Amino acid sequence: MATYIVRRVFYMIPTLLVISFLSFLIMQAPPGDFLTSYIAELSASGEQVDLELVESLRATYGLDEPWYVQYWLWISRFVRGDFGTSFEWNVPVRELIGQRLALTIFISMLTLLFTWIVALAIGVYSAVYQYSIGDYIVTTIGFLGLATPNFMLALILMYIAFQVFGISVGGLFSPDYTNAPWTWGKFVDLMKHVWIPVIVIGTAGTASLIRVMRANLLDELKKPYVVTAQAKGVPAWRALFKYPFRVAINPFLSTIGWLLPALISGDIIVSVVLSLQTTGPLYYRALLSQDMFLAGGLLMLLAILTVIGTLLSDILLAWVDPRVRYE
Amino acid sequence: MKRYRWLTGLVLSLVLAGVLFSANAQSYQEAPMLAEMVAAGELPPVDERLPANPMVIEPFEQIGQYGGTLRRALRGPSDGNGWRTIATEALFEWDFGRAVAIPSLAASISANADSTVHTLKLREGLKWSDGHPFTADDLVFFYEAVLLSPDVVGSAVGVDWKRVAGVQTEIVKVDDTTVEFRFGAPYALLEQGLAYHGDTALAPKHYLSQFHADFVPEDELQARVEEAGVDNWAQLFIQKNSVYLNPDRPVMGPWKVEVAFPADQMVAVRNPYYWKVDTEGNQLPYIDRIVTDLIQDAEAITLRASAGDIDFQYRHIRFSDLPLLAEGAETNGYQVLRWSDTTGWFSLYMNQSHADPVMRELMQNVDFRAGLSHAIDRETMNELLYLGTGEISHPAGLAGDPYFEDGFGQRFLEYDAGLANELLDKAGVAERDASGFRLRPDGERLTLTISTYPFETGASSVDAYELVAQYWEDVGVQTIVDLKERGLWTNFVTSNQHDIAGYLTASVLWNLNPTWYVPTASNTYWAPLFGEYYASGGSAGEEPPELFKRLQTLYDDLTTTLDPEANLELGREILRAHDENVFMIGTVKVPFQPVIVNSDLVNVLDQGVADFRLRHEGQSKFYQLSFQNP
Repeated sequence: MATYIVRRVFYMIPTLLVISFLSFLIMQAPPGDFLTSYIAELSASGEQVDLELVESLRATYGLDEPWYVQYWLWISRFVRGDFGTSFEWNVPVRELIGQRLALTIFISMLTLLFTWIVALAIGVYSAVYQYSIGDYIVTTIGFLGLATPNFMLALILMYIAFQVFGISVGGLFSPDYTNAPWTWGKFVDLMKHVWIPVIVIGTAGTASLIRVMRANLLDELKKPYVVTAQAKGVPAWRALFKYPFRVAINPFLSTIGWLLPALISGDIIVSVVLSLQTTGPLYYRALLSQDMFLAGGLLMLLAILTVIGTLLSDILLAWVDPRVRYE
Repeated sequence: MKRYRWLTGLVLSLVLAGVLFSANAQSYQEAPMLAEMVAAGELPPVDERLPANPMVIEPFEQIGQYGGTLRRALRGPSDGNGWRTIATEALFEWDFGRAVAIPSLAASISANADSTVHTLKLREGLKWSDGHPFTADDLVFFYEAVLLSPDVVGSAVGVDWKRVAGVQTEIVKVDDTTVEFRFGAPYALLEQGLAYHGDTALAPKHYLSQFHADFVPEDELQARVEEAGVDNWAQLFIQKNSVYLNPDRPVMGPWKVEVAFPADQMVAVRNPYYWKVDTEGNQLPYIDRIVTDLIQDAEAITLRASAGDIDFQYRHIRFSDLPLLAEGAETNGYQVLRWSDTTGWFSLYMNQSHADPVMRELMQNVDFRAGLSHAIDRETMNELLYLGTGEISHPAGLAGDPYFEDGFGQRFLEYDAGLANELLDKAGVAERDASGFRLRPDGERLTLTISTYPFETGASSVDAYELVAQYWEDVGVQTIVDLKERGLWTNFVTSNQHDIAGYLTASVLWNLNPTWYVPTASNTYWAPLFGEYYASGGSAGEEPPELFKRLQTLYDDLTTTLDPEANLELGREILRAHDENVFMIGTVKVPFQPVIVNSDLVNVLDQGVADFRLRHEGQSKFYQLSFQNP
């Protein structure tokens, strides 16, 4: 197993290099650069855009170099841990990302927990009580969750939160706590706000997982070994959780690989609508304004997490299900 | 205007003398939070902090009370104008909501006989927010180290007076409180230009010089560059020169930033050295702090406003959200003011410098433009977009702009399909093909493309231009509405690739941003090629025909004519050309801009003008706003 992991880690290096190159190409693909968006901004208010000024800025930020030079400058510093400076925010990219990372991971973990608990519980219930009234009800709710656009749900919940509970709109903290140091009060305030994004982002994920869990478990429950166990008088919960459940949970583990990058990019539209202080909106804005180093830094972070996530999935699968081999 | 200025100077110095006299008799008062700092020995007493002749402001309604926090919201770092316009100062500033520039940091101004040299006298004893004196050296520093530096000139946005008549403007120090602006020709727009964009020209030499290559040895500067994690000293300098992203930079404004973006909330606290007092000698500002939340989504800002969590703002607040805003007003303790809107036209910029010669001839034909204008049913558009409350005219200035004359922008407005057809026939597109579409003089089908991007001014640009397209198809002109992303759109229309650009038009103080009405740059969307010709001094673009050249000459004259009457006449003549020619076909204009104001806030301008050139909400002078119950 150790050699397997080492080999996989080794493979990650060329993969990441290729990803970095491709992602840089994609970032360069749209016509113009950060200054084009800056000029659009000035031009929209009718200001005469001074060419001398634009040329000076272009030189300052190295945008007058050909793309391969820019790529080299970026990647050679990236491997040393220097992600460059965001054009728009004028602060080092690492600082920008770092500032939002903790909260992003906290919300994503919470969402993941919510999704799994709800999806597993409902999935198991509707498999065990297949075609019961309860099954129909939760299935309907599940499909509704799948079909409702997230941002819509976000707006509705935000309205309810404000009208019914009097919670300030948008963001994860009340204005009084936004810049305050961490205290118990601030944590309580965070918990008051955090349920909206967790429910909104979570519901979208639950629906499909409920279906997967239900289908897998149904397959498993009809197998002879389960019938045998039940016939031999093994208690119902044990006959359910000891083996069928562990097999049915496989798809959950294999999707962990996709969950890690989702932690960072979050559900971008929902995060923008709810103005969460997470990395998702930062990424979205960076792409729009062609803030290259910030977008590039986040993109590489996503790539690294995807690769690591895939590795984790593979290891977890092998661990839970001994039938999976390392070869 | 010269004579006038002497008179103003005289009156002003009399007023100042009077104020000085009374000020000496009664010492100044300060905010409790500053008094505490003085008592604790952290700050010199208020009389030592204020200049000898502080600027005296008569509050808009009443003397205010100290204290309180004002809440606003902005969308991100590129939204910096939302901070600049309310919290930065300049040598001149606008009077309450009017395009009249009054001396601010400057105490007085005078000009030589031919108005090429303007002498500015600063107030005595002005100080930066860190207590360091503000002098003529700071202005010269801006001129020498920023404006003339090819490396960092990028941080000097909107210095309209940088060149006059093609000659670099000079700033020369006479003594500590006197500077001369020396222009290549008589210059009439300095005071207005400084009131609009003058904050850029304030650079604290004592702070910024430590990040400038002309003042610091190379290795020392390099160490600072590396420490900040940027690529070169120019980036470092631009970073340090930001008034709202760098909390360490000393400022002259009423508040200085304490916590900056990228924090989720920007916090600014009163500047203890602020140099304005009210008529009773209270040091301004009244309000202690301004907090600005970072909210990326405009809808969320509106929701927040409707919850009463925004104290004074119209930025990102839209006419179309009026019902929601009105609903929350009473229960959540705010009111919705109506400021006049000066830019909210859905205009059609008819490209006079079209790349295709056949199309150019059509575009330049006034019958063609008039025909298209008569084909638009503006009353119905108004009903559909603004429930009939919108205003109908072409953009040719607006009441309130000194250059505007009653009746401008009223030609070819009535909806008359018969007349439209007649005029279009006359313009040379009478022939039609089998599908009923008009043909160009060269036999090809006439297709007009309206290029726009999705923007809102109370209604959506997409809806508005789709309606226009429908009306034009009704008179046989095939019309396509082409939606682009904003950056691409700017690129497309400034490089002269469009038939018709769909965008807003500014109408007040356009003399400061002439591109709207005179082809002076490539962002004159109705004639980009002619604008480029002007901006490049003839080395790029295309030489314009006489009609457009005349507009450019008129504008040159306007910038150099100081006599008020003659100056007004020049501006009027430019607008008259638009009135007669309708290079920009107007449709419907949004009736007003809703402004959210906390009911507890006093001294708020009730009849403002929502315009960038007048500095948005800033024209209500935030430093004299006050909460009744702070």
